[in-house]
Amino acid sequence: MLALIKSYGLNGLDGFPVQAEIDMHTGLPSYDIVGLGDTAVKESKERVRSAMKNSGFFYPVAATVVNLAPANIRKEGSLYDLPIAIGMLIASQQISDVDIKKPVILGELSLNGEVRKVNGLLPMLITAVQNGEKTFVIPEGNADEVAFIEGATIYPVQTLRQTVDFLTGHIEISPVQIRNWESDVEFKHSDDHDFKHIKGQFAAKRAIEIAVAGGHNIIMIGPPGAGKTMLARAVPSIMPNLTFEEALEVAKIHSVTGQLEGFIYERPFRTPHHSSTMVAMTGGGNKARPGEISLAHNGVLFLDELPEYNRQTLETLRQPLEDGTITVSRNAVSVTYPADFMLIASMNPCPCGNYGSHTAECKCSASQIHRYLNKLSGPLLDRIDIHIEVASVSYDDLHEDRFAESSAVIRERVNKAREIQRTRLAAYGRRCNAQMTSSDIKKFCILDRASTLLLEDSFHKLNLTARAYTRVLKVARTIADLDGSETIGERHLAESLQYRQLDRKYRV
Amino acid sequence: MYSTEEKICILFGEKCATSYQFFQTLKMFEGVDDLIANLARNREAEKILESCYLPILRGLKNNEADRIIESMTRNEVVAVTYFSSSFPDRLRNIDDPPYVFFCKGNVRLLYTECLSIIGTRKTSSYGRRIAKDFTAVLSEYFTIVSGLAFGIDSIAHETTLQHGGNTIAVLGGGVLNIYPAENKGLADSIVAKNGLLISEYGLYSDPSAYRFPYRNRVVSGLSRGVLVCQAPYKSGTNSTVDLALDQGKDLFVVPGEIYDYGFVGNNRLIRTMQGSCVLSPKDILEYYGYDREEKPKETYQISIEEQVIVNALAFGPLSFDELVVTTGVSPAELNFLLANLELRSIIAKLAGNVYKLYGGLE
Repeated sequence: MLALIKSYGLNGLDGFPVQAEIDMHTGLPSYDIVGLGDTAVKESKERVRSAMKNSGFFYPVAATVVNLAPANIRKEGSLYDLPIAIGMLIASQQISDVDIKKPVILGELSLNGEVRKVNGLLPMLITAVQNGEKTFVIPEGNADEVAFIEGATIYPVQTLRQTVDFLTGHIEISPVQIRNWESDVEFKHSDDHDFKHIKGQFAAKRAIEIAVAGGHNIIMIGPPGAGKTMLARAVPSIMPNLTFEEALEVAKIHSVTGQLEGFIYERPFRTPHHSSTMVAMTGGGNKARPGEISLAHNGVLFLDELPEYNRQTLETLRQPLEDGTITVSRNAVSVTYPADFMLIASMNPCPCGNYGSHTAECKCSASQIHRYLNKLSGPLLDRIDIHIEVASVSYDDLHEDRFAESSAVIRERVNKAREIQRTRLAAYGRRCNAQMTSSDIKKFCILDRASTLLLEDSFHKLNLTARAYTRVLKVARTIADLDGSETIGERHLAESLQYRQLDRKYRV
Repeated sequence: MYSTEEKICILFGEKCATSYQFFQTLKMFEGVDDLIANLARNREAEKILESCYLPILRGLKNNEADRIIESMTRNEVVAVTYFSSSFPDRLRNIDDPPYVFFCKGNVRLLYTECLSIIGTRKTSSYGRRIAKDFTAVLSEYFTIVSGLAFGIDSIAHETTLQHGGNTIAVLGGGVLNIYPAENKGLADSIVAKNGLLISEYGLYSDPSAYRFPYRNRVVSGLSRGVLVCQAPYKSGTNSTVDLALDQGKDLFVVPGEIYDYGFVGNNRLIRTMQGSCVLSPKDILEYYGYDREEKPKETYQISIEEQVIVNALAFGPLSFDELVVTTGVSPAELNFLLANLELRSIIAKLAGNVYKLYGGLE
């Protein structure tokens, strides 16, 4: 007998419909699975057999053919175990055809018949709902991630037996409770990484506030132990809360890589180690999986010890920093993943870390320092608007409680500045100041006479390079927005000039 | 046109024979013609010239000097040799004088009044400021000589060019093979702005570590005096200083903080009374009998808020954090005030977010 079960497959961040077709006929007992499945799909045979046996069914002695249609698209993963098992039970007439409206079934089976969580469920489900599917049977482990999908009835299941009982109408399962992002979600910010715990570092905190307010990338330069990592960790706590669309995008990416626990409520914070390969960073592999920069989408990518990263790896960041997306092409697939992240980088002033210190001697040679700094190419630095020096905090500061604002207070100001930018830039399809193009800058970063003179003057006095010019203006715009000021004043410009440390010539 | 003697100098120079090797070899023969004829048979010369011997022999045989001169003309390089009347006397009189140097740019600068400004490659902001401020004034009176290295050397050259002065860079490699490569742009602008690059080594020779201390004798030899901007405990600067003292040149040293690693060399020179301590470019000008008219100081009325910061810094440098705590000004406001003060050169920003009052110098 023939059984047809609806399921779904994944290509990049989009699903595509898959039909599991199971046919049994008399002949020598055999099992064939066709339809371009990978090894995990092929191995489903053993899982299905044991799961059926251990759930109180028998494994049919017949010639079995499983086809995953469309037969010309690659299928990956273990998610077809459950649809195949259900199909085989129907085909072997151990259960009658299911009576509820044909559901889309997805799930991995364990040998004892339990249904296990699968990767990439969320993006598949979203496409399926868009394609008009109404009913789904999914592993209970994935229930949290689909809690915000509207327009579908989703039944979470725990075991094969339960699934069969449900499909044949013997038991009821309550569908996943659909939640509403606006009303049901309470944003909790973990207290571990809050700005109120960071003593001193006023300059760095201020710079980070500006960076987050305008969506600027930032690099912190300072000796080891100065607190660069701690500052970076606290950044997500002052970023605006995720909107539903943002959260959904992030959740989709994390779902594909199997890193999604529940749903995404906080902005991601990714810290790939400097030994990470280019593929780990940008995405790829033979299945064109998303990399760290996509996992940091709508959040923070923190690159500690920036010059230690492979130069080629750093250069690949340039395009995503500009476009907010990355296209990963492999021989069979080409996928575009979103990668719109805020880059936070840190580095030492020299390989030994003591260059510029008054108390410790730097042991590096001039050419060593040059080589270290030159690892950061101009085009990459071009995309980092704010450079800030972070000095070690003195013992006294550690006991100082004043001015240690909490993240909530800072976030309030950031939100306000972001709102101003959104109103101003929405018509141009941009969200924050960092995304302004040169024509936007001409329009929105108008300087009065005093400021123009100041800018001219400072370029000579501070030895700034031409590269600094637009950066300074963008950051000044953000500072003015934080200040609630319509125009860029002298004070805004003066402050933004402080954030071009690496552009000053003759650091060595 | 180059004479036969000069062609020999050029050939030896191209093969990077040292001055010692050149003059010792020359002594063994009656004259250059004898040298050309008999070098191949002279075992003694082979011993002295070491690895240069065979290349030079080959060059003599192939008339290579003509080809080098052709290449020099193509690249607008001229050679000044020991045998030419245009060889500057002040170099003739030093110990171990060069027998040839290749020049690219304005050769006339060799006969002007020169002062060398030298220092470490790893500078601090104070050292950089010394180099800048002194060069800005001194380049009006002297041709500034330095070594085109990173740090103080580059600042000296660049500041001179900015102020329309004359500058000579003495290289440790060939004039057509600039080292460090990052300074290629600076070297080009020195040539473009009527400055001069000189080197005793062949046009394209690679820089070797031993050549740098060796070329320092030319840096000091060309100059009337040497100004040390920043010298840490161990630095190539010290080798130039020793050579300058041997050559009897005037040595000027700017003092540094006694606790600062970056200025141990400066302060040692002052303590051992090898160099005269100078506190402003005027001190050097006075020494040489120049009379400099004082420019009226630019005055800037600082605001009350700025005065608070100036007062706080009066007793020594403070970090940004310390300034926030002591003055109670908000970080945003403080950033603005500090930027303003820095632009008016009232304070300086040091490494590690530390701010310091500028003082002393006008």
